[in-house]
Amino acid sequence: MNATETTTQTLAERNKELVLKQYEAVQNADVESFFSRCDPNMVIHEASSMKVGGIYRGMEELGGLLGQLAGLYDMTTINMERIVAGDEYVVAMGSFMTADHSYQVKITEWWQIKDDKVVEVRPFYWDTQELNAALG
Amino acid sequence: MSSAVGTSNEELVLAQYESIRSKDLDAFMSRCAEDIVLLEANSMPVAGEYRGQAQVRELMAGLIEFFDTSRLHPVRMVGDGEYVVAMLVFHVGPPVGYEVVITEWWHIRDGKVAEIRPFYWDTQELNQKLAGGAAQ
Repeated sequence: MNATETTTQTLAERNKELVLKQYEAVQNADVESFFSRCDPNMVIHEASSMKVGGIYRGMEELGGLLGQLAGLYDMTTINMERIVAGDEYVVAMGSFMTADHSYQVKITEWWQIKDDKVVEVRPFYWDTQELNAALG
Repeated sequence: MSSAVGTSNEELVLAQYESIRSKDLDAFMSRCAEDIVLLEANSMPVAGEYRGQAQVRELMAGLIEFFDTSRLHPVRMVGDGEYVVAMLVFHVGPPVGYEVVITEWWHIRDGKVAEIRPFYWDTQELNQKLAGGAAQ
């Protein structure tokens, strides 16, 4: 392995660790910790059919989104089963329960990391149609 | 595509996408394990668990026939150990005329594809588009 590869691998591992900390913060409802690892201009995309559908830009909009998500889902149940990391993107796959625990939400999320900060998140739900029906 | 590509697993997945683009099902299946599993979300017209070469081949033949795969292209890819995750774009041709964004998890075991899990960006929107196109 050459020096460049070593640097890249280290960056990937650092990115993976950062994303794992974000999930831990979500599970513990530690918004301050979550925000501390986000770029002020970060962007989250949510599929348009979802109750929270849209594009959220910046910390204020992100805070509003997290509040809505907390009402829909029980984030203490979050369990990420797979996580892969590169030098710019980390992708995780796992699940959590709806707030009433009636439905398991399966999800995969792309995290874009620059300079040790989250700049973009794109969640892909396994089945938005089934999830929207479960949420009523 | 924005992530560096270099590992043999990532190259294998890129070869699979090239096979889909060129509708070369024999080449695609040659890189799949005998006990390959492909999962599709419940709300999709092709919902279900496809197990083994015969079932996956039949599914892929239908998908390649239905979708315009000639313009399929991965826009992001991360490989890490046995997993490769790709975000890609392809099209549903007229009369639907819709761009589909999808994230696929590929599990590679001993140089063969053992599992594929496609997360569509928005199954509800996609199903509505497909239903609208079918009604025209």
